[in-house]
Amino acid sequence: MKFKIIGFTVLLAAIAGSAALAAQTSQGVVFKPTSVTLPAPGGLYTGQDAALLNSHCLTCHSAGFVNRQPKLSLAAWTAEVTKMRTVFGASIDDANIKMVAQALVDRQNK
Amino acid sequence: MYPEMISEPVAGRLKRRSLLQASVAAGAMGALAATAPRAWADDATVSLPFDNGVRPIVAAGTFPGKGEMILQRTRAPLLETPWDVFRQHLFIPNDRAYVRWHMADFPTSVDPGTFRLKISGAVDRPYELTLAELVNEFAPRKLAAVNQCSGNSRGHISPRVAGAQWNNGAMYNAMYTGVPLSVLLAKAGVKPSATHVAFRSLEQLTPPYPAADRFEKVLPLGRANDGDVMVAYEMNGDTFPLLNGFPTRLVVPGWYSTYWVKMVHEIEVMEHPGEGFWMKVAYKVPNNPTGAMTPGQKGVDFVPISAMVPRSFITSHVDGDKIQTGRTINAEGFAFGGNSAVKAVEFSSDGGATYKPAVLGKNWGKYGNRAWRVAFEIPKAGAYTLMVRATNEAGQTQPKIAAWNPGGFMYNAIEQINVVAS
Ligand code: HEC
Repeated sequence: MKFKIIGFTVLLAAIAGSAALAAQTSQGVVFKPTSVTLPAPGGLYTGQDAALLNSHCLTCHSAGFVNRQPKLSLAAWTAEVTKMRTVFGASIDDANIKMVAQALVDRQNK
Repeated sequence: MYPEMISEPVAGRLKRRSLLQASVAAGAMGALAATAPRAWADDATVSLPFDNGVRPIVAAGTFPGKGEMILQRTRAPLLETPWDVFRQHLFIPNDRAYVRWHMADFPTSVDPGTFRLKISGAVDRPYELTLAELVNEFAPRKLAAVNQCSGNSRGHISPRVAGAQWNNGAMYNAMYTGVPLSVLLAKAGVKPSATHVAFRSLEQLTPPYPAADRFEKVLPLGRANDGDVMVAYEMNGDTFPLLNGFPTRLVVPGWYSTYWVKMVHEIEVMEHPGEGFWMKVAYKVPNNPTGAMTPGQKGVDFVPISAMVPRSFITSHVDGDKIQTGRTINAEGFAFGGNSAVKAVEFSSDGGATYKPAVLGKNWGKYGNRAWRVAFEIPKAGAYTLMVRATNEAGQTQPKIAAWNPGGFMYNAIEQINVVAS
């Protein structure tokens, strides 16, 4: 599997002297201002029907997550894709729900 | 044997090696950034023991504050703890604790100077606290507890269901320091009309997500006020990694991690149950103690998930190990009781035909991991299945086959390890 995540940066507090400097406490607990950079999302769908999936199933979560699902029936995939619209607000019309669900089944069966 | 069986697990404040090194480096550069673009072998993978179980392993530092982890999802991050970590530690180091975010809507930057914990709602005296006030003005409580994802081990559920396909590594035992919620609520004066308490994180929901999807979890007032639920600001003697909820995390010992709200900053006492998506729709299980139903069963009454069920694991052996006949072998591992203490751990070396009691290690408290050990002997060569099962004080024992529900929640079947004796 080809999978790339680009580098990251961790800014560990130490904005010395700045007002943002950590909540110091009498118990010795030090809360440092913490700022992190997350890795890049981890690539696009590739292979069969990649374009279809990239246009509908990439905005909210990484492609790898969908690729790692167990083999599901057409009914189960249809329910998942429909859930993405009704519950999470994905914009996908009925015709595309059918197509995406079928594409996911086909990818798993190939 | 786990080092923690003999020594205190919490030495973080004295021994923050990585942090110290980072700040030394930063000091030397006269700057504050420790930049480390990491390359790691593209093909480093682990094969989890179920169909479609191959996962990338990401090197330490790939995700900020985290060591080497199993990659379940990059965005929003789902990182699983590799099994070897459980073989080495009864208290999981902070940088190896699993990570689970639903949406990529959490801040990647937290300023502890402006952070406030707000307590409001059906109370007489709403108030807010700075982090310094939270730490300085209340007596700290320490509590060992297992944080376990509701869907831990989902990859083993049969028939399989959609969701994060975890092996057993979406759990961790830690020693938490914080303030009991009951104390925080008492200061506010809970009104007699109150029935529930809602918890919200620093997450900022963005479109296209509908407003009801905002991450809010709700506890019944009785649970919230039981003295064990707390707002933690440290785990294992150190502040939380950002990805595990810096700077404050709700600890709901004995209940699944969905309630352990990360970056918790709003606590609202309410006069009704939760109305949001994460209470009304998601994280629901059949209304019985093990969350059991049959696939396709109609008319099931679903309720919000709550109490954990007992689990136990073998760490001395792994699948495929070769062992010797006719000599004493030590089996070791750990167990947790779920919503009540571990009462007993039993071990079988004959595939569950017979069990014998294990000796339990130090008791760190009813919600924490408990180490166990058994000496056994295999008389003649052949293939054997090692099994371990825990029973909790509530009388629940691990089943041979896990309960099934459509969310793939509450898995706790007896673990089995196949070895060959010669
Ligand atoms: C509007 C955002 C959004 C879009 C677009 C989206 N999803 Fe999701 N999806 C989510 C969220 C949020 C979850 C829950 C994540 C979690 O629990 O960590 C989820 C979870 C899932 C799951 C796990 C099972 C579950 O129901 O929780 C699968 C499988 C899935 N999505 C597949 C898809 C597929 C296939 C598409 C393309 C049609 C898609 N998603 C598009 C937001 C989205």
